[in-house]
Amino acid sequence: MTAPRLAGLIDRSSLAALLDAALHVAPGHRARVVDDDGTIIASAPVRAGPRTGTAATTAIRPIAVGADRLGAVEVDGPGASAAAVAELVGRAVELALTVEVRPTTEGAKRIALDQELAIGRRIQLSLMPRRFPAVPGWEIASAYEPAREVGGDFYDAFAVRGGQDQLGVVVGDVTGKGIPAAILMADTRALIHAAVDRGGDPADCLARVNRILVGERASGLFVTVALGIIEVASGSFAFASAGHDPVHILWSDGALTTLEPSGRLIGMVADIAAASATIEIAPGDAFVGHTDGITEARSADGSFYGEERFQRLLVTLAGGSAAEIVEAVIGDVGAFRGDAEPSDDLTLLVVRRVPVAARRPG
Amino acid sequence: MDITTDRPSADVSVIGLTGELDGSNFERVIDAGRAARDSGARRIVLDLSGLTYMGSSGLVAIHSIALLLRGQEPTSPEDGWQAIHAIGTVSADDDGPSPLVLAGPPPSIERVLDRSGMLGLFPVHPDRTAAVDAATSS
Repeated sequence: MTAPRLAGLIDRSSLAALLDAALHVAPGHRARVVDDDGTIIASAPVRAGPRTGTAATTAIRPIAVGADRLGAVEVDGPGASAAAVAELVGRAVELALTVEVRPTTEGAKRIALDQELAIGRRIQLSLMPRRFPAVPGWEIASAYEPAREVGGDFYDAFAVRGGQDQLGVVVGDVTGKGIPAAILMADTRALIHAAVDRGGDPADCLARVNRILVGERASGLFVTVALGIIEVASGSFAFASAGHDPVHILWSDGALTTLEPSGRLIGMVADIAAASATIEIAPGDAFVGHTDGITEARSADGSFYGEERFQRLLVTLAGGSAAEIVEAVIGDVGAFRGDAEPSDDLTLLVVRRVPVAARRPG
Repeated sequence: MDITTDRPSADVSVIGLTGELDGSNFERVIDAGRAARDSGARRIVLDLSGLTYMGSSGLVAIHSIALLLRGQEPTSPEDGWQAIHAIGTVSADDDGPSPLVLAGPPPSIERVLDRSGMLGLFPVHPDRTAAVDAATSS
């Protein structure tokens, strides 16, 4: 049974005063406020008044903040007026709870924080890409499974400057939660797009993003970013990382290259010291980016999925389409996790250069 | 996660962590750092040797303790909108020996520190004793 909450949010004397004031206009009624477990936490004495002869009822009017039902107002009296009094008191209590009440108790702080976390989540979810650009010769697939509590993952694949020459690919993870984390995520995504569109190699882009965030919006939150810029026609793939998990190139012959260039996570210091690496992606090869929601997924017995298992699985998926690779990885992580509740967002982004189709005979 | 605090000298406080450091408990680590600072410690050794896991929240905790030791107040999730304001940052070029020293990170924790670039920002010693010696003598 959860602890009564309304009693922790508004003191009993205030409730009693509200009830008393309401009953001034409704003599002959009784009123009380109950907590969500039914405990009476405030009541007001009946005020003598003329009896109307109408049968008494008990009107129950819930007290809620958002979707949280905290308690109820119960008023005994003639039907219509009991409901009206209950409505009056109920609105007054809700007003007192949600507007201009200093959070003087832990309960009020917790509700405010929960609401903020929920808003932050909704902002983050709205930042996820709805669709990927159609790029000739390339296929893009992704999986994104937000956890209930923790958040922060983001990813993107976008046409640089809206054209067909370059494809930007991003995977990232923001520390923290709530609205500041969501704002940092929105900021980071927008700055990455702008930096890449402006030109320069991925390390330059990340350095620019970091300088702006550290210089103008140091919030004590950090973000890891893996950024790739793909030349669509040639398959040349330039890559830099700011503190993010390594990315992989899954070659069509089953070999696996791990790219983990150094670069500090963004938001902490002025110089992230990132360096770009370039690699050539041929038809049939795939770029795989992920967040630690994959490698740190936990099974019911507490063990981690781990980078080794992830890499061993990827190797078996060489030659598969981007969608097949994503589906196989997510399936394996899900099977590993079983019924255990995910503790973090899970993100996977696969960008594959489509193999040249074999010529059909005749 | 368990937190222990020791005070080998007036200036140096050792905060030892055992178990898993993640989003659910990183603020307790910051609180321990604040308590040590408020009690007069000027150098803090963060003993990570007992950690079996450290998420990105651990980085926030380390950074926050470093800020505290520089006389700045880290932001808290409860600051809500006010968290978006300019606060000081730790710089690799800060004058003088780092007031925060890390000790004994296990390999997986060291990988998190390395990948994020934290290893270059704070001195890391192989164990608590070496870290306390370094913190005491510099």
